Amino acid sequence: MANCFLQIRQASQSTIHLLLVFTSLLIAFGLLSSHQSSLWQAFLPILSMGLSYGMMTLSLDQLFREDCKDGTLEWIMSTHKPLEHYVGMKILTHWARLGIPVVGLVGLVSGFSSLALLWSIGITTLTLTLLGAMSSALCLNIKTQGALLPPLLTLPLGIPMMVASMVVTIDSHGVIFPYLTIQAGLFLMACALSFMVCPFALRLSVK
Amino acid sequence: MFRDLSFEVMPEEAVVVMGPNGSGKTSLLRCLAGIPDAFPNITKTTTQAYVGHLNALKGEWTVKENLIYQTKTTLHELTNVLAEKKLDSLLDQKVRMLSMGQQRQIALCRLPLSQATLWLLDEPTSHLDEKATEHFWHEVKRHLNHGGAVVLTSHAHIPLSQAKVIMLNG
Repeated sequence: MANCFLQIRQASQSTIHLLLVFTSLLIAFGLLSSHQSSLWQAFLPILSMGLSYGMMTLSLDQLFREDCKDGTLEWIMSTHKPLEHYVGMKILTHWARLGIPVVGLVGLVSGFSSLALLWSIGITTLTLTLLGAMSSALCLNIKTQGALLPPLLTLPLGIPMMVASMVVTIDSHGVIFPYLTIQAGLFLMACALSFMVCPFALRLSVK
Repeated sequence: MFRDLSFEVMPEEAVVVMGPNGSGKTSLLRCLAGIPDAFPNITKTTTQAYVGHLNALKGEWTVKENLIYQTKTTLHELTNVLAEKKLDSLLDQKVRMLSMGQQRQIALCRLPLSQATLWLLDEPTSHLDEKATEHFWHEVKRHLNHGGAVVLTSHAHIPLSQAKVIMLNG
C-alpha cells in the first residue's frame, strides 16, 4: 500500500495540467449550455466519455518509460518478483491518480444525479487504463513515438467500451442489462489482455 | 554472444568480469541476474542483489523512500547502514538533488540492506570518489568474509587478491 502512495505522489505536472484541462472543458460546456438543461443532459455523457478517453490515455506514454530509463524496471526483473504485480500496481496508481478525480469531477458537475453515469465513467476509465497500459508497454522501445501513439492504439479497443457506457448512461431507465454485461465482458477482456501482454512486452523491452 | 563460458561462484568467492567496451560484460551480468529471464542453464542456489549500470532510484523520492521501497527494510536498519557510510544526513533529501557519486553510493546501500548472499554489480565504483571507493571495497571484503559471494564487472584495478577473473574478448 505504501508503494502505491509513493507512486501516486510521483504525480507529475502533466497530470495536474490534464486535470485542469478536463475541469475547464467540463465547466465551459456546462456554462455555455446552462440555459438549455436538456442539451447539457444529452451531451454530458458524450463529453465525459470523450474527455475521459483523452485524460486516461494522453499521459500513458510515461507509464513505464521512466522506470525503464532510470533502471527500476531492470532492478524489478532482477528480484524475480512476478511482473504482473508491478503492472497491476502501475495500472491502479494511474487510475487512482486520474480516473478517480474524473469520476469525482463528473459527479460534481452532474450533481451526483446519475449513478449509471458515474459507474460508466469509473469502469470506462479503468478499462481504458488497462488497454492503454498494454499499448504503452508495447511502444516502450520505440524511440520517436510521441505521446499520441498509445492513445491511438487504445482507440479501436476502447470504442466499444465507450459506446456501451454511453448507452447505459443515456438510456439509464431503459433495458441496460445487456450493456452492463458488455461493459463487464470488455473490462474482463482488457484485464486478461493487459496482464498477459504487458509483462511480455516489458521483458522484450529490456532485452 | 558467449561460447564455452562456464564458471562457478562459491561462498566467499569474488568473480571479476573484465574486457574491452562492448565485449559483453553487462550482458553477462544481466544474464546472471535473470534479466529479462534467467537462462535455463544458469543455476542459482542463493538469493541475489543486483546493482546495474543505472541506479534504479526515483529522483522525486527521498533517499529513505527509495531504499525502503526497494529493500523493505526498517528505518533503524537503514539509518545504521547510511550512518556507516556517513550518508545519514541525506536520508530525507530528494535523490535528484544528489550528485552522481552520492546517488551511486545510495544505490550500493541496497546490497547490505537486501541481506542477499550473491551480489551482482555492474561497474560498481563508477562516479565514486577515492574515499567512497575504498569504503565500498571494505564492504565487499566484509561480505565475502561473512560467506557471501560477488560477481562484478570492472575496467579498473580490483583490490581483491583472491578474485577469479573472467576475461571477455569481445
